[in-house]
Amino acid sequence: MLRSFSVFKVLIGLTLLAGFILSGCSHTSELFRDDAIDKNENVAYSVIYYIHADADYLYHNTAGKPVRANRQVLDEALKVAEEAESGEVFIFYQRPEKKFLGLFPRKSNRFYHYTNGEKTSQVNYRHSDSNEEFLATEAKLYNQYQTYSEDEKKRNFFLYFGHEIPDDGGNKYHQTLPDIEVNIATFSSGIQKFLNKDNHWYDLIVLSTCNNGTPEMAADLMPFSHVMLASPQNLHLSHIDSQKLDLLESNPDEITNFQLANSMAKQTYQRLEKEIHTAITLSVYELDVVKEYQNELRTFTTAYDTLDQKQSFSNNIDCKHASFFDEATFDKGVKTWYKPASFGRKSYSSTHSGWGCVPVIE
Amino acid sequence: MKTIRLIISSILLLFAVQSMAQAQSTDITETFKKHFNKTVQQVEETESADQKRILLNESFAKMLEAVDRIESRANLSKDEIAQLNSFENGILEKKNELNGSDGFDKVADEDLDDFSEYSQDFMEQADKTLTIGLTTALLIVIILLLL
Repeated sequence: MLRSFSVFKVLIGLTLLAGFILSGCSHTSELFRDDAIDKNENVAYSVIYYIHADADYLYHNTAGKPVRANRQVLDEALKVAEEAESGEVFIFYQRPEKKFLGLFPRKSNRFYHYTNGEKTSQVNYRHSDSNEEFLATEAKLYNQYQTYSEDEKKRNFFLYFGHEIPDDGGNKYHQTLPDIEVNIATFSSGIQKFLNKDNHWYDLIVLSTCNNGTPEMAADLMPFSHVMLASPQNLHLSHIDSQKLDLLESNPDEITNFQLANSMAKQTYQRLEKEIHTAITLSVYELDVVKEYQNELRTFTTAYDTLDQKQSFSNNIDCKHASFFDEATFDKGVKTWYKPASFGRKSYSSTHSGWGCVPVIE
Repeated sequence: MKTIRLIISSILLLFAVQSMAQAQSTDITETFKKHFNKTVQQVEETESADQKRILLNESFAKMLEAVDRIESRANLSKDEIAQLNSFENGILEKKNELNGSDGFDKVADEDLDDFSEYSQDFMEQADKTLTIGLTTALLIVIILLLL
């Protein structure tokens, strides 16, 4: 009797085990889908949020309370999505990949899809290939769930929240998926996977990261984006505010991409100015204007690359410190909000060109 | 019966080892941030400027010692060493500025609260994190050192 009971327990255990293995085979699980939504519904704009949470995003607010920056951005994104009554919002929330009992992969990441202010889908997903191209899984989900709008004037926005996207390399960017390379080139090709041949431009790309307001990033994004908002230097973990996307509802016809980016930068600057003591540098790049001097910009980048050894893993400096930086040319199409740090060696500098460069070892 | 127990025990052991292996990849920046947040709170609660300075100096010294231990005991790649050096240099700069060494003007007594917040902001910026996989034993040593 005792022996048959033990065998019974083993059988139950094996069944559960098989269940976990089988459930782990699918990469996505749809938690919610509103079938009443027409896939051809008209949407005036599309906003894609990518919120990276597979690393340390802890900071402390002015009261000393711990805040998870990724969670804070998610809450804001969900609020924006609920208020986007004439748009479509996609939120990709990339969390650490986890395994049940250390063996069975779980679908730790979240994807939310809102159409005209209503949540139409929510999906838990995982990255089935630990070597996949950056943003490949997210782009696949986007293309599967997007609404096919007939509005030719539909506007596209991409908002990225995370740590600095490095110039090259970029292994270990995701703590739990260290083999996925995250760098400017993979980011640039990754976000193009969300575009299709009928709609191959972003109106605005927001990079809420450190040190990505650089000539290299601008050069990579200008072939498919009209405007970029980024920080040429360090940016505090309380990321760029995106509530101003509500201007697309209140002022849809008048608000230009440049004005929208300016509003977001200004709001973020005004908040950070009251909260932090380190330098604040936010720049809006009108890439259609920057494109006019792209050759000069590339020549500058090439010349800068030939300088002595670069100081990796350091805060960017203002490119204007390079003797061959043509401030009069590179000022065109760039608007910067800058406040120097309250302390530190560079606190005497009162202006910023808006372009960040890797410091050189002197 | 013994065989079944052995199989079940082996499976449980396997799960435990897998879970431990995952726990070891915890990054250490959170540990530093939590430690320094306590320092900022203590500095702001303290009236005496001398005491504020002592608290900040002790905290910087502890973090620098923790970095030294990581450098000497962990098996680090070239990139990890560069990240750690950058972090270490940042803390060293703050320590020098606090005390007015290495060309810095000494932070004025009335600015010490702001300076402690500035140092915290510096540690909590959105650049790279120290993605160094430490052994559980070394992580415990670092945490104890910072307590």
